[in-house]
Amino acid sequence: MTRGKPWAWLVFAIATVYFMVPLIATIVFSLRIRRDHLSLDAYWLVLSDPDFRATFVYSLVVSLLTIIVGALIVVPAAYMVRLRLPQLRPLVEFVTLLPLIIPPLILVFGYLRMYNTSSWLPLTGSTLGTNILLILAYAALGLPYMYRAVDTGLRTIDVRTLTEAATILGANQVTIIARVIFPNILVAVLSGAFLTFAIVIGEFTIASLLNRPVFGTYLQRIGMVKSYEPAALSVIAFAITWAAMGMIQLLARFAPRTAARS
Amino acid sequence: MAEEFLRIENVVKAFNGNTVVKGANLTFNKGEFVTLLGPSGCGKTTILRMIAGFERPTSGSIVIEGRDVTNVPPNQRKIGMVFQAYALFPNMNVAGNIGFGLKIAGMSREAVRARVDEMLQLIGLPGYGSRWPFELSGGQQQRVALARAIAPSPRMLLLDEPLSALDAKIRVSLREEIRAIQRELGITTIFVTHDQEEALSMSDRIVVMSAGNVEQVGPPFEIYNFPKTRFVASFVGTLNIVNGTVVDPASGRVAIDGQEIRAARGVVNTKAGDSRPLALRPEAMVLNKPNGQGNHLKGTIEEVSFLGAVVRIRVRFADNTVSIDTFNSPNAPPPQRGDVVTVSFAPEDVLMLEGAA
Amino acid sequence: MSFGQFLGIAPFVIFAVLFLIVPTINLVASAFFDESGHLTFQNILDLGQPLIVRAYWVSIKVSAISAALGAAIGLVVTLAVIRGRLPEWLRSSIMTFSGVASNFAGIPLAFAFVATLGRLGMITLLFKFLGVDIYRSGFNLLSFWGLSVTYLYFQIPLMILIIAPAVDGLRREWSEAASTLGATSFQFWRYVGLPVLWPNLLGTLSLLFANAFGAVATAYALTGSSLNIVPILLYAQISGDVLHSPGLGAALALGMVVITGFANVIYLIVRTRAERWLK
Repeated sequence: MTRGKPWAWLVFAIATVYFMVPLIATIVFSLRIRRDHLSLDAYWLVLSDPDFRATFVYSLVVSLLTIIVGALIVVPAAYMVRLRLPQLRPLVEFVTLLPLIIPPLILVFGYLRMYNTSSWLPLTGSTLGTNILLILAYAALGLPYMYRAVDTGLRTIDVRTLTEAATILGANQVTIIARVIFPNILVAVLSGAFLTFAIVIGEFTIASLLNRPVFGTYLQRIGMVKSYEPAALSVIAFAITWAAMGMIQLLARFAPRTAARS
Repeated sequence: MAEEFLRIENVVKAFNGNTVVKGANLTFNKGEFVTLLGPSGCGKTTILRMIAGFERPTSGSIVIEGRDVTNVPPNQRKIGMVFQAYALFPNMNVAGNIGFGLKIAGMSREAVRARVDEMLQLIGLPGYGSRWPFELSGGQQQRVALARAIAPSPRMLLLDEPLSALDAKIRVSLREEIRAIQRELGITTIFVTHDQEEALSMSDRIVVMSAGNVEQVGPPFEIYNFPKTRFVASFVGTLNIVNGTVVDPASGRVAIDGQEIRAARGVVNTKAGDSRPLALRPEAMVLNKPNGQGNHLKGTIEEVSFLGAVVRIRVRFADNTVSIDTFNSPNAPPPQRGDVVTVSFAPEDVLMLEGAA
Repeated sequence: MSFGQFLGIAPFVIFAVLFLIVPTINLVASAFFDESGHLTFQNILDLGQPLIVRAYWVSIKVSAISAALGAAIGLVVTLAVIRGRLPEWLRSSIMTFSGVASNFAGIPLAFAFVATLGRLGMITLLFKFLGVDIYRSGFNLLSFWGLSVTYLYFQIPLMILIIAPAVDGLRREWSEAASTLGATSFQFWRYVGLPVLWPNLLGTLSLLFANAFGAVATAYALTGSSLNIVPILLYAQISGDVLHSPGLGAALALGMVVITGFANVIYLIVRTRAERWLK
């Protein structure tokens, strides 16, 4: 039987209503800025706001740097754990769970206490330092996802066998990582990258407490003073998140795969 | 007197336009052990699942003990089933699994316990009641699955490739156990496998299937020695197939690579000049006995494989090759590659098959 | 461990220590010290203020309700998609959407719900058009129930994403075997299906609870500081020291970490035990 059972379709229909209605309502709301007719003016207003551009670009740059930092931390570690230090795996996996256990609010509170102007590493004392702190905080938020993506990628390409094959053929460690491993996990890294991007672009709590002008704080500010623009921004944010997720799905299709040794 | 137990009438099954079973008509007698044998995708598992009730036939009917059960849901058919992947319930121990059908049927706790102990004895795992599925080996899990299926005293037992996931040695010992238990209980059993050795060693009758069609039904001896079609001949047991040109149908003379022999079986519907395949079992041929009666072919040894008890020798005649099995003997070392030899066999050992060569 | 291996793992370890472990420990430990650096339990005791107790209570209620409802609804949807034999493409769309929706939390989600169920929201207006004034009848988006309904938007997808593999793991052969042994669908779920899923359900419930408890942005955007829940209180304390006691802020954080940590530990323990069964 490939037809679905009737109760299943009913459940699906109800769920669809619950999830679609807010989206549709938001879209409709965002088009109603002019009282008598539907228009995209709310979107134009938002897109032409210099604050929008400034904070969006800032968030974009921050997310890029976060991805790079995250990759530099995760990729060598995941490689080492899988290949040479399997005994460290439980510890490493526990660490990657910490950002999911520690609420971001607590994390940033901890940063503020530990890296304030009277501490051994006064990062909050300067704009550059605070930016660095922000990037590191975001790297922490994205750590579980980046690690899982890279680890899965390494497992799918059976990195152990690839490394052994390359070693027998005469390659040294650096060549192996640069020319054999990395190209094959690029897709996995990109996967983690898009997820990190989605997290960073919408983030509010950490950035607002660190007083950095990210897209999230702009959203919150607009929400307090305007009615229709926030709805338009919400639609834009949703579209961006959807696009990021879509990229991940697309990448999954291009992921290289070898049969793993069981 | 064989009593009919299960009848499958004109059953056809199609999935999304793809016809997987193309009109099967089969009868199974009470107490019989019948195997559905064939390669993947031939429809054997589909037929089994239709008997169990997990698939509905697109057309045709299934009759058990005289009653049409085509529309009866699986949980009311009183049939036991054993799956390839054991399918033991992970949240229950062995006793819980075996007693599950009894609990559903409303038996008292003491009666269930007694029956479970009886089953554990039957499968040779007494005292294992409190073990958990993940603690057991594959063979043990499958035995528990068998006990679970038999405990409610079903009227029929279905086994869907139950040995395929097990190691070779366990497979052999377990199939003997299954057969012994089945004989002791006298329960009608249908067994599905793609392994012809299993089918040959366990069954009262075999149903050979290919691509949705039933090719042949019969006891193992008949299927092996008198295959009706080329498929059955090549699927069951190792078989040599050589291409011959018919010289004279009346006397059964056929030419193989220019050398003439006489075929005694299957020489029907053919005329001189026809190209037909000929089947020869490896054990039916002998080497270098050129003076006896019967057929003799001259060829060159291409390959010699020492398999332990059996020595398999491949001999080439121009375009055709045959594999010959001879018993190992310490006193007579096997011949060498490149030797010229005579291959002899009786006309009765040659079976001409239908279809073009 | 060779030098190369050390080099590979070092960034990870340094990062974890400096930017995950130590800040958190430092923070919660400081709850036990007063301003002059002496060990004290006063901060913990100060948590007993009515304002703070109320905040914890409301947080627990919101988290529990959104977790319970999210888990129940998410389970039903997952069962419908996987065992209700809906088409394959439907399943992957739902999974993708769940991935998006679970990340949609925060300010955009709050805006979306304001546009839907706010005083001028589309659905509110629709109901008004049909003659029903939901605000007059007591509903308010900027309240406990409004927040819970909003939280469901990411709790349900999160549940779907996490429980789907477990429902997948309910092998079809189990229900078929149960069927041949005479069990009805209901009996299968009662004796096999739900017992097997139970650890995962409990664990995910825990996770959803922790997720809601720690959420700030959505609540902040929806209610400003008007709804008294722990994350909002803590946020206000961090940014403006509204409680006039840094130690109390740390104590609040400690309380939060204990609750979310406890819930997460339950999730982890339960998940490892469940994996052993489904070997």
